[in-house]
Order: sequence, then C-alpha cells, then structure tokens
Amino acid sequence: MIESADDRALLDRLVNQDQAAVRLLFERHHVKVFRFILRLVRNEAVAEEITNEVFMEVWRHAKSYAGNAAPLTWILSIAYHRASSSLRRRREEWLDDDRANETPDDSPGPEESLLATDKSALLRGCIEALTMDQRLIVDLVYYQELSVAEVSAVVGIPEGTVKTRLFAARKRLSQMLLAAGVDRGWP
Amino acid sequence: MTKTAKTKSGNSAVEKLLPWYATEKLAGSDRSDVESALKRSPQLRKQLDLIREELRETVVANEVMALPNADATRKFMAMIEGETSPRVAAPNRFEEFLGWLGRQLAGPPRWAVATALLAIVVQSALLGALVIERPEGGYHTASGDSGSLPDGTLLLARFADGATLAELGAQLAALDIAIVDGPKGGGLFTLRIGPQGMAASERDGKIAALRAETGLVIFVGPVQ
Repeated sequence: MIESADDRALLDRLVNQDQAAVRLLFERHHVKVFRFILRLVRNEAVAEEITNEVFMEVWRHAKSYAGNAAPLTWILSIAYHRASSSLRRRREEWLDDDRANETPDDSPGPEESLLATDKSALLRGCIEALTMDQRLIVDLVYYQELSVAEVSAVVGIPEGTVKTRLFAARKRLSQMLLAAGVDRGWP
Repeated sequence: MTKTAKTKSGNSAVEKLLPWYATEKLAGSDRSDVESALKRSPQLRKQLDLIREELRETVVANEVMALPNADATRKFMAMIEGETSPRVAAPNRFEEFLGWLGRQLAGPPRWAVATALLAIVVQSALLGALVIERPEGGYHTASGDSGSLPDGTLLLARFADGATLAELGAQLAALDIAIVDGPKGGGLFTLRIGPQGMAASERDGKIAALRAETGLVIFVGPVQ
C-alpha cells in the first residue's frame, strides 16, 4: 500500500516532467515489467524495447492516469497491450482464443522430467508447461501480486474469468504432477 | 463475493479466492468468507498449502528469468533526455560546411548567397546519399569525415544544380563511378572511377560518357 501511494506521488511529479521521479519509477518497476513482457514476447531484445516504450508512454501520458487503479496495474496494462500489439504484428497468435483453449500435455516435457530432481523443480516445470493464458494469470497473481480486479483490468477480461482461469490452471498443475508421479491430493 | 455455494464439480467460490487470500489481496466480506471456510474445512487448508507452494515456485520461476541490461536505466533516461531537452548539439560537419560556405559567399547580394546556398545544400544532401561505398578507413561523404582515398583513377567533377538523386545515382553506378569526397570549394566533388588497373581506353570511355551527360555534369577533369 505504501509503495502504491509512493508510486502515485511519483506519477503526480511526472505531470511536471520531473526526470528524477520517472527514474525512480523506472528503477522500481522495470525488472518486473521487463519479465512480464518477456514472458509474452519471448525475446529479450524485444522485451527491453517494449519496456522502454511502456515507461515512455507513462512519462508522456502521466496526466491521463485516472488514479482508480494502482500505478503498477496501470503500467502493466500498458505493457500487456504493447506486448500483445507486438505479437500481433509478428503474427504470433498464441494469445488468441484458439491458443487459450489449447490443452497442453498432461506431463512436463522430457527435459523437465529429467531435471526435476525434487518436487519444487517439478512444480516449476509444470508451471512453465501451462498454456500462455493460464501462465499469464498465474504470474499476475502470484508474482505481480495483483488483486482479482487488477488482473481483470490488465488483461481486459471479466473478474469471473480471472478466477476461473486461475482455478483451471491450478487443476492443470495437479494433473500434470499426478502424471509425473506426484499426487497432491487435490482436486 | 459473498457466496460460498458449491459448484457442480464440488469446487466452491471460496476455493477460487484462495490464491488471493494467500497473497493477502482479499478484503472485506471476501476475506472473512475465506477465513470462516478455512476454519471449517481441513481440505481448504490443505489446498491453501498447495497454493503457497505454487506461489513460491512461481516467484522462483520468475526470478530466474533474464534481467534487463545493466544499463537499462541509463538508456531509458537518455530517451527521456532526448525527448525533453531541445537539442543544442554542437554543429555537425554539414552545418560547419554551411557556415564556411556562407562566409565564402559573403560578398554577393543576399539573394545570390541564398540561392547558391540552397542549390549547394540540396546538391550536398543528394550526393551524400550517393556515397554507397564505405570501406574501413572511410570514404568522404559530402559532409563526412576524411579518410584515405581508395584505389582507382580520381576525377574532379561539378554536378548540375538541377540534377536529381535518381539520375545521378543511376548514371554513376552505370559507369562504375563513386563519389569519394566533397563538396570542395566551387562545389567540386572527387570521384573514383573503376579499379586502379583499369585500362586507359576503358577509363577514357567512361569519362567521355560522363561528360556527355550535360544535364547532370558541368565539369569533369583529372585530379591534379
């Protein structure tokens, strides 16, 4: 909450073209934003370019920040839309509905199986093997620590869909683990 | 969200909220509903433990991802600086050339200076784009750095003010001629024609062909 309040103060200063404020905002969030974009575009150079574009957009349009979402949520929304546009331009369409409904294998790939010497590593392998749309929600909730409403705002889907998609992702994780010999006892 | 009704599959609405309970992103009635359900249900508490495992490993999976370049902040701030500061850069060589040109033309009436400047500036811009051969050590561009001249016969030429980029480019390429320096005083450019060992007859033929392009070339002569 304190960080969010600080971010709002920084955004206020951006309206007056305060370079120290944008530097602080960039330093505070650019790694998370970069990784979020990298997860989508899967290319470090592209992710870095889009990250810069996102913060440039924040710099240029700080005035348009409405203030009803946390600043990081607003920044991630811009990042999501920028990354999606980049993907559309490159005709990589794994974010569309067909891909969202794509069902992955029930088990992690052979590499993950070989490397998964313990349950934690196996679980990480299964997380990596989720569909992109499921993985996106998992990251936004567990890594970016966004609320239901914030994820809904970033991705542009209803709150009910956010909850259902994460629930489905969690069930998928258990199924993959079971296929790999680890019974979590749920569902 | 206040209802905890079971779904057909046996999953309750509370189950779907557990991840946000684990990240402490629930408030109000949602939070109290989850806490009440957790007190009643060992299965939900077990599920919460699983969610905490997922959370921990998701964080690890993200933290092992690549980091941005170490100088990401510097690059970004350079972009900010470029956008906010009016450019007061030192004059480049082309601007220095224009200054020099203005001083050279300081005698004639102003309209004549302006016309000459305009013609030569346009020509310089066009010709700069025609220097397509840039070996290490560098050829000169119309406004560029100096460097060693390449092999081949060198010529001096002055192009007609009305010559277009397309016409000049096509004609010079057809004759295997490249601009390697200029413009010098009087709007002269240094050209290279063919390789050093080119037969004299072939070289003379190409020079004659260039001279014949009177709409493009005013003067062609040997380098002294």
